[in-house]
Amino acid sequence: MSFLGLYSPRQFRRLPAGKRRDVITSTVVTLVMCILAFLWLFPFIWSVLTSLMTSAELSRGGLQLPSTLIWDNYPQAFDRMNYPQAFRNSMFFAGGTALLQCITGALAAYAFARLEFPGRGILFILALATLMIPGTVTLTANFVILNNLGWLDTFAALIIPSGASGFSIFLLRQFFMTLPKELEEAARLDGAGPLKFLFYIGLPLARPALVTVFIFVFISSYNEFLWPLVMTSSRSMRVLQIAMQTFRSELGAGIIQGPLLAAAILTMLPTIILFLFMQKAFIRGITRSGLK
Amino acid sequence: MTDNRHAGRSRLGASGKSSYVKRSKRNTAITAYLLLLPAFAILFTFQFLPAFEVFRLSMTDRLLLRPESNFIMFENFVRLWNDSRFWNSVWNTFYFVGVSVPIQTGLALVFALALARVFRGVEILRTIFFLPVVASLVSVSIVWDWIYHPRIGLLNEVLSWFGIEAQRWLLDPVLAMPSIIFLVIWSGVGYYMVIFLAGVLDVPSEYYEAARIDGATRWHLFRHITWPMLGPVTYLVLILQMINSFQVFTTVYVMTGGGPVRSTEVVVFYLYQRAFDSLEFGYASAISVALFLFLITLTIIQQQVLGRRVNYDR
Repeated sequence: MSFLGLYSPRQFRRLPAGKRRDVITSTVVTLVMCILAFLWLFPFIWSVLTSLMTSAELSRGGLQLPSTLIWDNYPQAFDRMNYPQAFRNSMFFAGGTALLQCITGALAAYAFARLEFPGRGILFILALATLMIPGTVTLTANFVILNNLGWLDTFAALIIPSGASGFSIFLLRQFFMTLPKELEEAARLDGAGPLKFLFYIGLPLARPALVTVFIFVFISSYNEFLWPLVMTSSRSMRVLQIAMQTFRSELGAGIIQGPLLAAAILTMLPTIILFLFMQKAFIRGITRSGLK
Repeated sequence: MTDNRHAGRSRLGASGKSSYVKRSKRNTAITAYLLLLPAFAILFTFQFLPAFEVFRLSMTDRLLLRPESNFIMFENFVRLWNDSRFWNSVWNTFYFVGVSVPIQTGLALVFALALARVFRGVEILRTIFFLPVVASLVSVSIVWDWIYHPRIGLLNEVLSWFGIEAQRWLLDPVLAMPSIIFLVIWSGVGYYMVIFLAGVLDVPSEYYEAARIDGATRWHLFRHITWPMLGPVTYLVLILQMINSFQVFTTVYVMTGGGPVRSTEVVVFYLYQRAFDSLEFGYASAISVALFLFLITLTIIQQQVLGRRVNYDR
C-alpha cells in the first residue's frame, strides 16, 4: 500500500523489472498484514460494539451494528462485579508487586553489578535459577507456607511472594553494568560510599530500566489469575480477574450478556491503556531480558 | 583504558596500608550482602523452599483440611502411574503443546519478517498484533467464549456465509481443544513476534547488501542469512513457549472447565482440581513434582539438542 504509494504510476513503469517485482511483493505483504491486523483487532472492536447493544439485539446474534448506543450495560457491570473495590485491589496487588520488585531488584542488581564479594557468581546463578522454577509447580507448597505464616487471604499473600524475581535482578544488573566505572570513582573521591552512590547517582540514572521493570511486572501481575484464585477467598479481597470470573460463573456457563462483555472490557482496559502509553518501556522488558 | 585502571588500582593497593584495604573489602562485602538480603529472603522463602517442600509433600498423604499427615513414600506416585485421568491430562497437554507451539512460532516468525520492513503505519500494525498479549486473559477468554457461542456466536455466523453448518465448538469434545488452541495462538503470537522482531532487526544490513550484490534472491537472503542469524532467538522462543504452554491453565479454567468429557483437562488444571477441589494436597504435589521433573528434563534436552546446533557467533 504505502510502498506503491511511494511511486507515481509513471515512475513505477520506469523502474527496472526486478525492482518492480520487489515493490509488488512488498505491497501484497503489507496488504495481507493489514487484513490480518484487522482480524486480530476484530474481537476487541466487536466486544465493544456488542457491549453497547440491548439484550434483545445481543440474543439475536450474528453480525450487526447496535441500532442505538446503550450505555446501561456499563453501570450494571460496575455494580455486579463490584468494580471500584476490585480495581483498588488489583492496583494494590499489581502496583505493590511492581514496586517491591523494583526495590529488591535494584538493590540486588547493584550489588551484583558493582560490588566485589565472595560468592557473587554462585548467588547470581541461584537468582537466575529461580526462573527455572515454574510457578504452577510450587503452588501447593506455597499455599502451605502462606497458610503457616497466616498470610492467606491478605495482600501480603498476593504481593510479597512475587516481590523479587530473577527477571528484574537480571534486567537491572544489565543496566548497572553499563554505568561507566569512572562515575563511581569520581563519586568515591568525593567521599561517597557504594550506598550513597546507589541512591544519589545509580538509581536516578536507572530510571528507564526501573520503569521497564515496573510496567512489565505491573501488567503481568494485574493479569495474573491462578495465584489470586488460590491465595485469596473473601469477597473483599477479589482482584479484577477474580471478580470478573465470579460474575461470569454466577451468570452460568455459556450465558452471554451485555453486562458481562462490558465487564470484560472494563477489566482489560487498564493494562491496554497503560501499554499504549508505555509501549517502548514494556517491549524493552521482553527484548532485553531474553536477548541482550 | 582497562589496563590503566588496573594499574591504578594495584598501585594504590601496594602503597596503601594493607589492613585498611582488607577492612574496606570486608565492608564492601557486608554492604553487598545487605543489599542482596531483601531479594534473597523472598526468593528463598517462596521459590527455593517450596521447590523442596513440594517434594516432601508429594510423599505424604496431606489433605488441605487436615494438617497432620503421614509419610507414605512413593505411594502417591504409584497411584499417579495408574491414574487414567492423569494420563488423559498428560495426553491433552501434549496435544495442546504439540499443535500450538509450532504454529505460534511459525506465525510469529512470519509476522516479524513482514513487519521488520519500514513503511508508514508499521508501528501501528506491530501494536495491534501485540495488544492481545497485554489484555487480561480472563476477559479475552470470555470474549472468545461468546465468539464460539453455538447460536449467537460470530464464528458460526461467518462460516454460514460459506455454507458451513453451525458447530458447537467448546461444547464438542473433538473441537474444544482446537478452539482453545486457536484463542491461545491469537493472544500469544504478538509476544514471540516481538522477540523475533528484535532478532531480525539485529542482523547487520551489510550482510544483506553484500549478498544482494552477489545476486541473492529474497529466499536466499532468508535461508542463508536471516534464519541462521536467528538461531539463538528461535531457541529462546521455543524454550519460553514450551515452558508457558505446558502450564496452560487460565483459558481452560474460564472457557471449558476441563470439559466436555475431560477433553480439555490439562495437567495444571488437573493439579488444581486435586489440590483445591478434592483437597488432596499430597497427591496434587505428586503431580507437581512430575510436571517439574518433566519441565527440567525438557529444558536440558533442548539445551543439548537444539543448543548445540544454534549458531551463536555474531
